[in-house]
Amino acid sequence: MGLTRGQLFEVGFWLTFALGAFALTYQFNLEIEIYEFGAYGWPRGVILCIVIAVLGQVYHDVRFGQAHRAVIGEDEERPQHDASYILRMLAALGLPLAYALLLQPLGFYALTPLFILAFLYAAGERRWPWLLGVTAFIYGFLLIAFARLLYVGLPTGNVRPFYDFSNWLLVVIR
Amino acid sequence: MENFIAGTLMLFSNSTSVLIFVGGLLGGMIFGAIPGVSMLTLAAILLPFTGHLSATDGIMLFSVIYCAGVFGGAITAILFNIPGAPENAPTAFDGYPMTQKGQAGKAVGAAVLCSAFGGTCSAILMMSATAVIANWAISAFGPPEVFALVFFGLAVASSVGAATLWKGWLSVLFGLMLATVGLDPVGGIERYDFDIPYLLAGIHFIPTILGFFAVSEVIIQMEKRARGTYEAPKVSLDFPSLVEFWRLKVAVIRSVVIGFFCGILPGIGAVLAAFMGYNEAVRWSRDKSKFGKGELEGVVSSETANNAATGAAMIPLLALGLPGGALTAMMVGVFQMHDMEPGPLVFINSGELIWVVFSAMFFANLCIFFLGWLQTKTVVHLLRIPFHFLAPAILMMATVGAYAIRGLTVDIVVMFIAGIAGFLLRRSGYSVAGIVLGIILGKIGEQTFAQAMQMLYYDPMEYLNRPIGLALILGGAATIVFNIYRALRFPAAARA
Repeated sequence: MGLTRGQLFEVGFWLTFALGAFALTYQFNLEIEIYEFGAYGWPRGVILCIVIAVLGQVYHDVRFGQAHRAVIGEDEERPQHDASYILRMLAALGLPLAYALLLQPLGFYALTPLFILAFLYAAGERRWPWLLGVTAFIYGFLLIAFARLLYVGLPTGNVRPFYDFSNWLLVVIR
Repeated sequence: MENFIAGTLMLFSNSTSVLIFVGGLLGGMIFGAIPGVSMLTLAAILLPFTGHLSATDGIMLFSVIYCAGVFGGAITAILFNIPGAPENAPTAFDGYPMTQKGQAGKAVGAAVLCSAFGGTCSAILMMSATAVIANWAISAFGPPEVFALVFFGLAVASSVGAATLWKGWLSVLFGLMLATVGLDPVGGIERYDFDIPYLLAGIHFIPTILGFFAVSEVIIQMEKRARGTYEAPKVSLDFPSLVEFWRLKVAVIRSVVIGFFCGILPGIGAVLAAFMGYNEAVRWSRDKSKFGKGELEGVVSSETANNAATGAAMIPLLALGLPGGALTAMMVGVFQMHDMEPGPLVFINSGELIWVVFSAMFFANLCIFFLGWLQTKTVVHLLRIPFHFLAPAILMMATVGAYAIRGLTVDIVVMFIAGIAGFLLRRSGYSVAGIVLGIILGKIGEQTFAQAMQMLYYDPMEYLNRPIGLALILGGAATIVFNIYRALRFPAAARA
């Protein structure tokens, strides 16, 4: 019995990961005077265990794959994904990442209300009063709790006019 | 007993002490529930002000914050899959699935009862034998034993929450690899840092925990909404019944012992206690497959163990002057601000201070029970809010939590990447609990392994002279062999 495409991908991923991690250990295979195994001993031991576990998983998939897939329901046809599903998942995965990457230049204070609004929209909320109301509530709560009461220093951004806006808002809040 | 009564009278006869006690209790519970911000932030904010308090009130305040803070993080772990602190992470393994099954009240109720019980038992044990236990633990438990304990924990953890034993192992090993990023613990040599300065300090576990738990959960729920299969969790305020608790008596007692024992070990504390408590519950269970899917015993075990560690953590601090973690280290600072040094002399020179602290911790744990009961009846109603309104709030709280630790936006990027990775890994049958355990225990494991090897002259046979370490190593090895045997012979039964 062979492996499915998904199982092959997983095996390929783990072996590539192990091989890459092992190759990188040569960048730090320096001797440590007081420690025989050096900085590379522990990572190489872990990598060896990863390879053993991958082989175990391959054995499991080959030997029991079909029965196992039947038990966990993988033989059922996977649901077909329409354009709306794909768009919403792209938003669910992409919006947080975009938000995280833009925080440094644009700052928490300017970016957060836009992110909350976009995320609510991506989650399927279409009623404007709710979109604006929930955004205002969460944003207001964060400002009061963290910026005013707890004095947590959040990113202010480093690009004008976002940086100026953040500082202005902080002065107003505090 | 006389000392305890005298300490209690001192604590409650002074209105300032009572106010500090109540403030520490509420503050610890609230801050403990905010990921990233945590009780440590509150303690750090309050540290300079303790100079204006008496030494007794200052130390008492920190000990109460410690007890309440460890409990506080359980609530968000159960309701939203956001552990307030790493020691609450195992609580989320089964607590959140219980919420999804409409048993939030039961899970929070169990956390309240077990936190109070574990903490109270720990306080009693601490009062009865601080000096004796501290001396024994410090002399009997060196790096070889701590490494053996970590090995044992990792061997057991591989069977939690993954689709197969092998995927459970891969999850733990992936976490161990992530823990190697940064400077190596012996020679300070850079590893896997790709010349990025941020990675020199390693991947911080708070953003990764928030990512693997909270962010991945939000994405999973978003996917369910996109598919049209999302079902809102039912809100239930039912407390666990006495019969259910009686059934779990062995798990509770086992977790008290594990938590207390781990708490004594400097640098290990409540995090290892919670994971070990949970792992042992899995190991001793007849049906391991029910863990990670909403098993009350999982919540009970981890919450009992992490609170049982609080009292124990005070033992090396007070008896030997050795702080076991960040909060106890701050307590050393409070001692020093009052020209005192924690250690054996404190018992002789400031006996009343010790007994006020002991009684404050005892009563703080009792108060957790009543305040926690009220919290259960109120906070569970948050689940009535539609998830798509809660989701951005959860993401924002996690964002602030990830950033607040070090003030680095890279931590937020790491958190969201961990969230996406967690989503994909969970879909493929891997265990995020295993990954998180690998990250946390990986650092402790590598450091203690290096120390152990140096102490044992690189000869593993030296373990024969260290019975505790040997027993733990053999126990871990036996667990691995047994799990492999089950995986090869009965693959369906071995599914975690």
